[in-house]
Amino acid sequence: MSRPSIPASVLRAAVRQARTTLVRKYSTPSGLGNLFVPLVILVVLFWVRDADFSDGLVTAGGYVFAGFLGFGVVAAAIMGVAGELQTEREDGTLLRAKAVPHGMTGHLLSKLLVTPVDALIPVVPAVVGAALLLPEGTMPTGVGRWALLFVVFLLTVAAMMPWGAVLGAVFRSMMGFAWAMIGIYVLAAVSGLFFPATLMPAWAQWLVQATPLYWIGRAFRAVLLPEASGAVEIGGSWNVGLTLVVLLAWAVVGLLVAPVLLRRMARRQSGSLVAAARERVMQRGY
Amino acid sequence: MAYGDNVVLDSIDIDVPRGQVVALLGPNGAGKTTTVEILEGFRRRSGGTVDVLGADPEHAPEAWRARVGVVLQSWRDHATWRVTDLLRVVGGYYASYGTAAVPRPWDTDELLDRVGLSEHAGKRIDRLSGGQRRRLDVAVGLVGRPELLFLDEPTTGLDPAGRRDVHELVADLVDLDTTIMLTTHDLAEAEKVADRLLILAGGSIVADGSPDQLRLQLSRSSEVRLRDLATGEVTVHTEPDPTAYLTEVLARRPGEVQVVEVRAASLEDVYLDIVRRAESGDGVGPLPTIDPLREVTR
Repeated sequence: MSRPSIPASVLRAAVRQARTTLVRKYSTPSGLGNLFVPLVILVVLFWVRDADFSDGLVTAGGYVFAGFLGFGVVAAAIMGVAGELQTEREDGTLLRAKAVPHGMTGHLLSKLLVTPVDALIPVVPAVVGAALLLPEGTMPTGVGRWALLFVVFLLTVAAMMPWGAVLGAVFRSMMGFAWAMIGIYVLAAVSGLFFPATLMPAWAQWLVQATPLYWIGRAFRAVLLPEASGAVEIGGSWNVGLTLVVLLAWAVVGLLVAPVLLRRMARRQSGSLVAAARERVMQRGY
Repeated sequence: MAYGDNVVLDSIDIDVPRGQVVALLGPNGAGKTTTVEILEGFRRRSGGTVDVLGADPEHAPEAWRARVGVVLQSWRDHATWRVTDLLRVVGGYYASYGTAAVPRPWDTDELLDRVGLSEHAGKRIDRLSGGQRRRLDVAVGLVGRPELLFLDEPTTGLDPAGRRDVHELVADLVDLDTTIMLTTHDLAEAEKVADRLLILAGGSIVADGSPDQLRLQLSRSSEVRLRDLATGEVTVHTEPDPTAYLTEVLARRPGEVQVVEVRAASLEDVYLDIVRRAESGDGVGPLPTIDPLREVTR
């Protein structure tokens, strides 16, 4: 299949769609619910602010904060995108996009614009709060360090968004999807996001390295934590180059797989599917 | 159209001229939605040829999409958006398909006025009533000024007021020069809004014509009421050929009976009869009057 070029008018329409989506989402109470999560994390940070991991190699506050940023990316880019696709398939949003010229392309483009903002919004109050709560030296000091943090943020979102689309396209029933999400929570809990992976047995460390979650956390820690804290990582140092290569590899594979699955999902989208979902919700309530 | 060995649609032969309002009528499960989704390009067919506005919908380019409007049975999408949000965003995708003669998209305020939603322009979509919501769906289907509009079960799930709302709206679209194809299982609705009815039962089109034509051509039997002039007693006879029956009776009993009424079966009787036979698996049986009718309407 030849790659269709995208007319400028479609880009404009997609930008308008993204803007409307964001404005309407964050001007309703349910959208503002996203801000509840950073409040929770700030409470946690306050509790652990003086604790440390691995005999003082790393402060717990800084470690958990980096983990929170990593988990924010996973929540928005994987779980957020997958969950939206699941809902949009059933409520008719995707079918509507399909009925419009270039509508499906525009819909996915607008998602590319909306997701980083979705990921960023809960992060901002958390960063401000952490800067006030955490001990000196945990948060970036120079402009360069902040810029690097932002780059890592965008890179990890970009690497995970296609995988969110893949999960959203693959799991076609509500139950299967719920299990996939539970699986991600479990992975997040054991992937070294919230405590050093080196505290786990060696075989578990190998498994953890096979998930992108470990590498996302590691990228954030490499930017936020002092050089010496790299000693708690698997391998004993930050090894930023390796971390970036792994994340880029996840991004590339995701970008190869996602369009194929999304195209299949779009092709299968039909009115009877939407009607069946409505019937189910009316009867069972979910 | 077949799923594996299960053929659900067979010998569907439809030819719709521009500007006509056609109702695809049939009981639930007759294949109406499948037929329309094949025409919309939303579903792959297993065989046969389809030509909609000069293209095969399955492989049609995006420019073809701009000429076709689809009104979906939506229910909770874009709940927090305002009415104008949805029209402006969807309309944006048609901007490059406008011409001097046909500006696209349709201006939002004008379109809202046209479908009677002007006073709800700033309302959240999930706060609209069922009928208003369906008006919005129709507006979204029309925002690209399509040459052909599909309405799949436009009144399902609406209360009587909402149904009348939609009927009035469709009747009001006649002057747009837009061909409209709608599906429904409600005969009264089809009669009210459509120029032409296609009855789909048992996977094929079993009748095709205007409501009046169908009534005349498909009545298999008529009711004949006769009064006995001597006793005053009225008798009712159901006869497939009332002319022959009357000729026979009047010749046999000259001056003894009075013809009170000869009534052709109502369209509803005809429709229910067709549906019943199609569903009982007898096939629709001999409907010899249909073929010449098709020739007339082409």
